[in-house]
Amino acid sequence: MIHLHQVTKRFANGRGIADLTLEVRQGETLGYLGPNGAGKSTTLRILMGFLKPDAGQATIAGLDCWRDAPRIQARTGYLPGEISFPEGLNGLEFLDLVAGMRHLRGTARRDELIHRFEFNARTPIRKMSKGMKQKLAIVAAFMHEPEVLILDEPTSGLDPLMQQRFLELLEEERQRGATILMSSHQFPEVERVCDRVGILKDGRLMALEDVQDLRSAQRRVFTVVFKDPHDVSRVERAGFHVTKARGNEVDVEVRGDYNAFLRTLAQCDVANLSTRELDLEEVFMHYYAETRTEVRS
Amino acid sequence: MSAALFRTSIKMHAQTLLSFAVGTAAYLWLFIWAYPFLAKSSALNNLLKDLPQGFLQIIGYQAGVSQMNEYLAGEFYGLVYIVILSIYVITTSTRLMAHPIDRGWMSCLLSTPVSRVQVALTQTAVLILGVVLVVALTTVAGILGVHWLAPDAPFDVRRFVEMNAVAGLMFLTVGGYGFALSCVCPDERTAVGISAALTVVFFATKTVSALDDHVSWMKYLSLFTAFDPQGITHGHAHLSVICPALIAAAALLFAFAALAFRRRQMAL
Repeated sequence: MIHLHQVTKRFANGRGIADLTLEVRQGETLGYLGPNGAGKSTTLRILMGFLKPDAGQATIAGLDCWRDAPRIQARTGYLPGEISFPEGLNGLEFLDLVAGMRHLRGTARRDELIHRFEFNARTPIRKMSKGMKQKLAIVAAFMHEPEVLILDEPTSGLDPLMQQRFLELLEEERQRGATILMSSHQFPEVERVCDRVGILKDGRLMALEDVQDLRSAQRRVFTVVFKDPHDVSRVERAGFHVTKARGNEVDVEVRGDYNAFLRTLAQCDVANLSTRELDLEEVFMHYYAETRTEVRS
Repeated sequence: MSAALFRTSIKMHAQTLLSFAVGTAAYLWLFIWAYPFLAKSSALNNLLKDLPQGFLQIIGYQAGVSQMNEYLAGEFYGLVYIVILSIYVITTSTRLMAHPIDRGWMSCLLSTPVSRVQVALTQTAVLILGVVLVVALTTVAGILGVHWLAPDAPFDVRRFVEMNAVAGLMFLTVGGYGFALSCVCPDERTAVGISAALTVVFFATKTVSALDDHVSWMKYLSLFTAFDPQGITHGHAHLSVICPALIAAAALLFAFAALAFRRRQMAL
């Protein structure tokens, strides 16, 4: 559905994207990850027809993103990374403008989305908080039930509850068959809703992996505090890799087999147990360290 | 053209439009109200008679203040009106195009099926309507003002309407380059700066060209030469040439703006 073929776009400051080839299949959700300045927004702007690639071709549903932008927009919903609205309007007036420009008649979906995200659309935009503006932009991007969704860091500015609501909405869109390309900083949200994930660094696609593969390769570090110091050796004997031990407190690295780990812990006297999400870099470092080891062996 | 965008843009600019229209009309009434006092003053007419012709050309009095049209052409349409309308068209043209690009909300418009050319043409229509409304309201206010405030003053309504119409067409052309610069300049400040500087240069060139015969050729460098309030008042202006030329210039500038906007790359 979305195709980028050897797309290059360079800016005067040296940033941009280089020789990028990427495909998002019909009905697929692709997470697009990378640090700031990696070229994520540039890719999305090329797809929206705001920027013209220096080389290569970008298409959506077979239509050229630069030449046929209006035809692409008819079936696409876009959520920009930096949200800005016309001054002097309230939320509803803005949605009416977008609906009018899309020749959208019904308001049922719009009203349902406003209700779901719990905000007063009649609030003047200049009085809206960042999160409220984000919600308004989400409604504008989703209200025409687009076939393709291009989302630039869609959960930024939303509180955890609304992030949850948004991910549920995305899941529904996925079920409906929408093709979604979503940039993000956060691996957990990408892990939850995406089928595949692409990693961009310095304008180049470093990796394109199935989320399932990443998940199974993912290690997680648990910090366990035991009441009985002897339990530390019990964990080690069970074959788990203790990365750090500080008296009764240990860091244990677990990969995939959480059941075995829980069974082992069930035999111990645990005073405290915590874990943390690995950030994206750690996930990929571990993933690639793993695959390289496997190749070597 | 997008009707929804047109409606919203008009709504967003209605307040500015109304302020300028009411302000211009009020200013014009002030001048009309002062006319009977000035016309009675023979001292002023005598003073004007004694001044050199070149100087009178600069200040816009070639025939004294014996007629309302000449008085308004010199006092109001020679400078005050040009300044007010220049500010209106330059601020409006940049707020219609450069502002949403600079602020980023142009992405809201371009992520709909309305093409870039349609967006540019819709905003052009808003600008044209604004200029037409300000000019029309000023014309009507002028005619009514003379009728109410100086009913005895000699006043040629036809010449007055012609003067306003040519002014309107000239300001459409000013709006045309303001709009075109909005579509090509990297940001709003640059667009406003260059448009304002160009307008000041045009005005200064016309003023300097009236100083002496040696520099009179400079008037051909200024767009403002097309609007000669005194010439129109005396029926010397070649309206059949000037009006179509101004319409063509404005159309070309707006067409250029739409094409430049279509090709523009934007980090939205």
